[in-house]
Amino acid sequence: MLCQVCGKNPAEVHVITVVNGQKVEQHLCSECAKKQGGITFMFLPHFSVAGMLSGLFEPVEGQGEPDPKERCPGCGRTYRDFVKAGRLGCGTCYIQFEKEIEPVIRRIASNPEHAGKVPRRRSGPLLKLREIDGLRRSLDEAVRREDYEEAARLRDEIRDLEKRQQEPR
Amino acid sequence: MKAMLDEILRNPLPGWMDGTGPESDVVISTRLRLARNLEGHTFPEAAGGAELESVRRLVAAACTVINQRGGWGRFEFIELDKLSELDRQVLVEKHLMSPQHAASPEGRGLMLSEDEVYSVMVNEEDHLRIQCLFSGLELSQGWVAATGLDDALEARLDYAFCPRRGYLTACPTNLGTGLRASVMVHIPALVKASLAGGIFTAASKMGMVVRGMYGEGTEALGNIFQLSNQISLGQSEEEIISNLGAVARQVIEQERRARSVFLRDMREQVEDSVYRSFGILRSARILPSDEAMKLWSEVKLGADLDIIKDVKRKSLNNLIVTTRPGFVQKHAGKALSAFERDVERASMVRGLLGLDG
Repeated sequence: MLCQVCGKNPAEVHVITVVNGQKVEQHLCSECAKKQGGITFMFLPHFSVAGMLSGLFEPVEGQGEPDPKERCPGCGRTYRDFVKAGRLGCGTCYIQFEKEIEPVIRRIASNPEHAGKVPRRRSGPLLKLREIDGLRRSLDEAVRREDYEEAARLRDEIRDLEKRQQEPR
Repeated sequence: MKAMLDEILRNPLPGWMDGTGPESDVVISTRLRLARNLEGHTFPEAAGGAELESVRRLVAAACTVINQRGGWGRFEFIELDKLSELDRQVLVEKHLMSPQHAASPEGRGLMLSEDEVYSVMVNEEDHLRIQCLFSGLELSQGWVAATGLDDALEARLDYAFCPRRGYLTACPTNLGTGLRASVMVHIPALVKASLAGGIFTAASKMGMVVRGMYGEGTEALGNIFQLSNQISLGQSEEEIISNLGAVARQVIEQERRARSVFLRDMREQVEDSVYRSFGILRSARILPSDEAMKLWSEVKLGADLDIIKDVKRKSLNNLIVTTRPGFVQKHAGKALSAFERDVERASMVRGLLGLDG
């Protein structure tokens, strides 16, 4: 379908305007849609989030193309496959392509660190990890203060926790 | 088992659409969904038939255990490839699953609670899409319900999770909490006043998305829109819900203000439009579904403004599902042509509004 205003470009935007309670629907190209003021709603009829996302997956400029032959050991997909599909193949992809995916995630969320719920089964070990992180920070702090007694105590506590962490559940 | 599904397919009015609940003059319903995947399994889009089947079997087994343990009402586990196309369409029209899920039934499943509050799509974009639906604005209650069912499923299933990224999802936009909370609002006055666009722009600046009634890529039928959170990573579930709640309350406030201005300055025009629509809706003999939704919107506004007093909210909300093409055919008990559907729909609507004959 061609744009109803210029009749030249393909219509990409479905514009619904409400004038004095009368709804007017038009199919416009993006150029003409921009020129028209007073747009109330815009729906792209064949707009898909996946399409937009595959754009998101494009490598960040200056970072260079990821190795086209590198495959995820979990599902066998390459990074190019994600760019095409807009979706990852499995959980392992997030580890395998971490370097490429990191900037993608940063484009989506201003804080790329999970701040919500944790599966119950994992919450034990996870909370321990968070605890160890906290102790490490205290240890650094103690070393800076030259409080070696406290540092030694913290070091032992961290070792102890890490040891328990590695024991089978 | 068959009986429960039949009942669900025939019943136009699940509890979440009964027109009650907080702010129900503007908010039709609240929906929460959690995206989850199983550890060690390829995501559905990249998975083959055997993999899909094995995930479906794991979830079906978890469903059986949840039923045995009790405390959740009864769940039905449906293999989508065993349903007719029409039945799948009805489930979409009732918002119990997405149009995408209905479109490719092979290896797909749906776990459904008897009261239609809970549904779990199996092997949609993610292995699990846990959803719950409530009437009115019920975000906090909705979160308690969704996280509860999530825990019950997690007790039997090993989720793909990473401490830094949260729940791992096929699309990175669902990472983190995997939570998408949506509020379905009916805002005829804002649309009439051409104010809806500006409000949606403001909502998007606050991290919210606005879509049509049936989700991604669908149009706004009957001035019904869905407001939902855009970002699921880097915020806690409580923050997400409270932000959406704040935006929704703004929209509700603005809609009410626009309604009262219309009523004050244009009472005759508003009443005229409401009564004309009501007249057509309960007398028409041929009623296409888009027209039905347009008329519905006017009549619903009339009921909410107390212009029309003799129609129950429940019957009106009933119409949202009843007038959909799949449901009309389910009601007739056979496939109908477009024209036959319009005739059947008109008769169903007259029946619902109590003026048949």
